[in-house]
Amino acid sequence: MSLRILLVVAGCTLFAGAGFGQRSWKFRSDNYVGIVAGELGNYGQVQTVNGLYKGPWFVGIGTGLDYYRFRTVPLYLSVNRDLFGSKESSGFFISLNGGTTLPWFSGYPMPYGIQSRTFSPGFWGNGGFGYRQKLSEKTDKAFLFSISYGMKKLSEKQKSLPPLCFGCMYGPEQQTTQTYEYDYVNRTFLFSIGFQF
Amino acid sequence: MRKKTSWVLLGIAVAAGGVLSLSGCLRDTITETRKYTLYTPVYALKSSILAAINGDPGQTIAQPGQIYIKDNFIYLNDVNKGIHVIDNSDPSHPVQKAFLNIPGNSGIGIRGNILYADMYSDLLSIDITDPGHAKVIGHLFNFFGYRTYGIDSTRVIASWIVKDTAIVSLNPGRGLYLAPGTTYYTLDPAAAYALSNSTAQTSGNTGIAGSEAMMTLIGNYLYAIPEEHSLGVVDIRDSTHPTLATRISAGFDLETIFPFQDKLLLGSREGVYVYSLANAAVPVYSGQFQHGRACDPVIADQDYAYVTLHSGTSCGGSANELDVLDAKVVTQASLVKTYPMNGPTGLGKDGSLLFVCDNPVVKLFDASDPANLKMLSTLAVNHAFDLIAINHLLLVIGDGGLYEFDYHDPGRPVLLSHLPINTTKS
Repeated sequence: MSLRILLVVAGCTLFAGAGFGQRSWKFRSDNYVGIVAGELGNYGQVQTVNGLYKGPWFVGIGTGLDYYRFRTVPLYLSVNRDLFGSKESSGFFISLNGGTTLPWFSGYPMPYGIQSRTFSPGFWGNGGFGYRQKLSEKTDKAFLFSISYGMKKLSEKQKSLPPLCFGCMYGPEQQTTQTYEYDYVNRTFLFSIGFQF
Repeated sequence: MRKKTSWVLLGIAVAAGGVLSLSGCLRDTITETRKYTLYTPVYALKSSILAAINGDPGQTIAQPGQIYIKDNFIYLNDVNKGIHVIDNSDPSHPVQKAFLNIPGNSGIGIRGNILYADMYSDLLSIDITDPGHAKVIGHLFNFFGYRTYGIDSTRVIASWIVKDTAIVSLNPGRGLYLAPGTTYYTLDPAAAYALSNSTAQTSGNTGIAGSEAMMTLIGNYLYAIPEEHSLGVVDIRDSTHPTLATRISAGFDLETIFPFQDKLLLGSREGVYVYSLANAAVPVYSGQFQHGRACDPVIADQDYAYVTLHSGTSCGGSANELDVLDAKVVTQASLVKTYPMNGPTGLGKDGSLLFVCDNPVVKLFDASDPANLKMLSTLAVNHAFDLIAINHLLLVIGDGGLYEFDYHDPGRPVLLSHLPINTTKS
């Protein structure tokens, strides 16, 4: 929740100081591959953000694949702002991304005694800064480098197997299906490199 | 310009390395909510419970379990509640004659007019000469050690208070563990019947169990699994005083027990342990063999074993299939052929006919050539889990109750009767 509030406040602050009006909105695509690092270790992530930019501002819709803990497909709004008047050249930028992440569950082993696992989407977001290295002054194509801190939430419901009754060696206390619910809050750093065109 | 860029890239690389190295400081949060059904036992004096096992009027079936037939009667376990005694003189009109109210019951074995049944940890011998006036005539207390719930030896659980509850914990253990599968083996009912009645000095014939039997009677002895690692042998020459003959450490994770040829096969999660009955009072380990994964029964005739494996149980495994094994040398069973199935469970064999519960039907096969099974017909019995087939009479237990079929024409079996279960919660 705190990260969500931070994202909203930071976004409003950035917009409040915006310098619109110099050019019309133009399309841009930012594409990243990266490493998500957290308590579980390092996992891969790919993202593509497509949207419009004007002056130092870029607003787009992002999606991709996030493999941390469970494979998910994030779907989010991305807001970037160039810093230090770097819109025409290489330079630093900050970014805020927030939305949801959709579980893409397949192929995971069932824990012992579990017959089904169902996942529900949760909040997905991150905020950080990056550096854009333009290929030349005459083009919008550029290499991107980004470091951010993020959060990925998911919930899972597991349903236990019905009890075995070969020999019916179990008491009634073991003869019901049980449900286990898990709420995951994953906190990670993300380092990614990409290409803008 | 190029120098500036190099410095920036170096800075980013250093920052990235620093940030990623700090990831070890991050902590994820997992909140686990486990929802349980909590069972609180209600105890009663054992003496009063035993006195009440006297053949109540027939009751509706709540949760069918093991099935056993002898002569013209069907004995159907109602899981943890007791045994329905059903007069099956006319399979088209089975009549529920009595109900033996045995809390904690799951297993059945009969010799002559004496029914042996478990009551939680106790083994009871019950005279069923007149099922309507049954009487407990003997007992062996604390034989089934794995089901000891008692607060003292004079009391037994009469019922349970059921209540749903939830337990929330933060950051529980997260390791995933895949259990090895299990295979259960049992004997062709007809062969089991012949074997168990072939031993001399017996005082009456036994009946036939389904493919889930947990105890078996051979000659003067009852063989059962008192707890998951041992085999118990009970001397039943005097049914009023069943006595423990021996108890041996017989294997790991034992579940089922059945006679095969001149041996006992103990089904476990790791495979099958084979014990020789050369000395009936003291079985001797003579080998073991392994087979695939899943907690499903196997039947065997003299030459072949038929194994069903199905997914969706706590034993793990993802296969849904019928495996046929060459079991001429029981300790060296080898796969002959695998047949795909939907979700097979119990099975049985009568002569060259093979019957397999394969939800949502029961399949009848011509098994004259085990390497080339031919399906003859299917019977619509939803969630059938066990069966007995003998003398053209097929008894099937499913979620819907007890079904009886005539298979004189295996291509067109005829439904003779159906005893439904009581679907209202008790």
